[in-house]
Amino acid sequence: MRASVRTSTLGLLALLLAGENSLAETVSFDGSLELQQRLFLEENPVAGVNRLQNSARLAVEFFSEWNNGDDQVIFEPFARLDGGDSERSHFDIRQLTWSHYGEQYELSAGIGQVFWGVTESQHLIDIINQNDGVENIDGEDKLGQPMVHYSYFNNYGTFEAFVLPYFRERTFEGHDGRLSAWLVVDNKRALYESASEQSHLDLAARYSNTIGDWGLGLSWFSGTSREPDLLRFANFTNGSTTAYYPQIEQLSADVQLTSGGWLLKLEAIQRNHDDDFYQDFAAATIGAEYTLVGIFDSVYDLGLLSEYSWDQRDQNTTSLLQNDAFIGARLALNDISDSQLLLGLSNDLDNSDSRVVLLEASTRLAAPLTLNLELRYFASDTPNDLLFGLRDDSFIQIGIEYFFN
Amino acid sequence: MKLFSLMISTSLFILTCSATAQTSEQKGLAIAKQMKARDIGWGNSQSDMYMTLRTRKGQEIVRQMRSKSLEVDGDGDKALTIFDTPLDVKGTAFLSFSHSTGNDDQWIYLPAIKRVKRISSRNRSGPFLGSEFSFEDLSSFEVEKFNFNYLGDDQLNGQAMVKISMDPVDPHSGYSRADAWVDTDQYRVQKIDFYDRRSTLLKTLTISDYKLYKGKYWRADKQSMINHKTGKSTDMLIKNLKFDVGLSDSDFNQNRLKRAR
Repeated sequence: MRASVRTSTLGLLALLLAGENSLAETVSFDGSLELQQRLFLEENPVAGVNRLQNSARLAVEFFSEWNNGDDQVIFEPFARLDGGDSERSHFDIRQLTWSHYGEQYELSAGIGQVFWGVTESQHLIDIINQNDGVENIDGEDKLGQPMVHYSYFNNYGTFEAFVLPYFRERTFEGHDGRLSAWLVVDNKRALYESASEQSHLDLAARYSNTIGDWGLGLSWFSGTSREPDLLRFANFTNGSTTAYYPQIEQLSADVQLTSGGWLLKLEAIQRNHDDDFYQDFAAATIGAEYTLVGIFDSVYDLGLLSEYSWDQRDQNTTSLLQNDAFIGARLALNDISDSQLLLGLSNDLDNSDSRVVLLEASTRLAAPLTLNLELRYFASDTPNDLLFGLRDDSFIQIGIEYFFN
Repeated sequence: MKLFSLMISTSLFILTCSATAQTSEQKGLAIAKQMKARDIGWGNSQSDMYMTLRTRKGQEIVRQMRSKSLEVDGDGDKALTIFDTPLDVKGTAFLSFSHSTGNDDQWIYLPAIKRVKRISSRNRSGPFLGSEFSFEDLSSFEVEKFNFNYLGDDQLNGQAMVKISMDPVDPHSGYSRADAWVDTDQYRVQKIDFYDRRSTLLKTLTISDYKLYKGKYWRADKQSMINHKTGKSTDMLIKNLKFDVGLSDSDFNQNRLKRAR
């Protein structure tokens, strides 16, 4: 009954958008609910003595296509309910997009998600979507970005243009929350260099191509920086701050060479500011990945990763990785439960006592249930290192995720 | 009339003579070329696939996926596989360009992070999503990928077969060789024994329920792979196979992976 209501609503939407009497050919509904428990290894003098944080995450996707799949609508709402940090409880529309596909072009309008990049330890060039900072600190959870996105591809590659009419502010943990690096950011307001504030029209363009074993991308972005300046308006006596978003122009390149068992990767940016308060800078991440198939006479695959991140601003950086090496191992058991494990270590080469250990593992318990494990261990004895603020926030997270459709 | 039949018998005589003069390599290669020749011109197709993975203990999981394929003139096929179940991998899409020589090109789309990754195709010998099929088992059949050897005539389920051995050219193949039973009636592979790098029997593939499409192309509805070393097995069932479904190069562009449904 519920399914048929959805079908007719989306079908109607499809009719309205298509402007013709075609019926929705495919409608789908999928989602997952994950219950998560975080256990912090240390007490935190700011967030209090509670070392447990429990939360629930719901992600749903409605999908409809018509015109033989040439037109698609995707609606992806998302919600997080957190037992400890009210600022972490939030709702977002990850996607609400209509897309039209031609033989050699694609036009999308709405709220979308776009990922750029090739490296694993840092996502330097990925700039279209804002980080959903309260979700995790790895920059892989993104807020939905309003956009019109056009792409055209031919034998010379893919050409893309983005018009981004509205800016999303990064989400931050509240006073009761962990992983805030002791700086509590006011989530209710933000400051901007542009007088248009959130309505500043941001623009982006990208060219990408695959030539034999090489994958290449060149991108340009002009508009509001996705990365806030949290120090400029910080009140260091009470640890509160307001995020400030400067205007930037950023050029970036990403390259991946896929050769034999090797992946060689590069991401590089040049970021320029109008405001002389900020230093223009370059930054880069290079990496290599090698996959061993069937190790120890088993069906296990072991991927070995190493990456190095550099930032011209050096110690003045707002990035966690300014002269840091990352090594990691990804193990895929190739069993019927799709079990996999990623173990990584990031080490600062300037302050060698600053490091992050990461472990991510997942396996399927039974058909619609998976078990997800995560460990993040932060260590730093250097007060001016950004990691220093996270040194009491190391945690283990256990999640049970239920999938439905 | 007489001249015509004379011509036929002469050419048959020449064929027979040349056959006996052939080395087993030449005869094996001739059979492989015949297999490939009968499978040229199919164009494009799509199908539903049900892969049932079984462990030695009888644990079982069904992976449901859809597959789209495009024939490429003078090279290996392009294939797009979209996963529907288990639900936690739904939306994952795998794109592969097989090449007759050199490494294949492979991309994977991971819906959870909305990211398309190009992956190393050196994983040829690795399992395809935990199944007993390796990537190379699912790559398109190209004559250039093997050295062939005719091993003899045989019978399988009362049908006349030729048995050929296929030695992979790629040093990164998981096999030292594979022995295939091919029916002499339509040149369809009915069974393959795969030998690991130490030349011990590793897996056996049984291919059955062949159906004829477009009056010319034979496709099997069922492929069963048994791993003799681990006792695990995978059954792959093909359903709703359709040809000429209007697929073109642009449907196999990596930009389109996140559109794949």
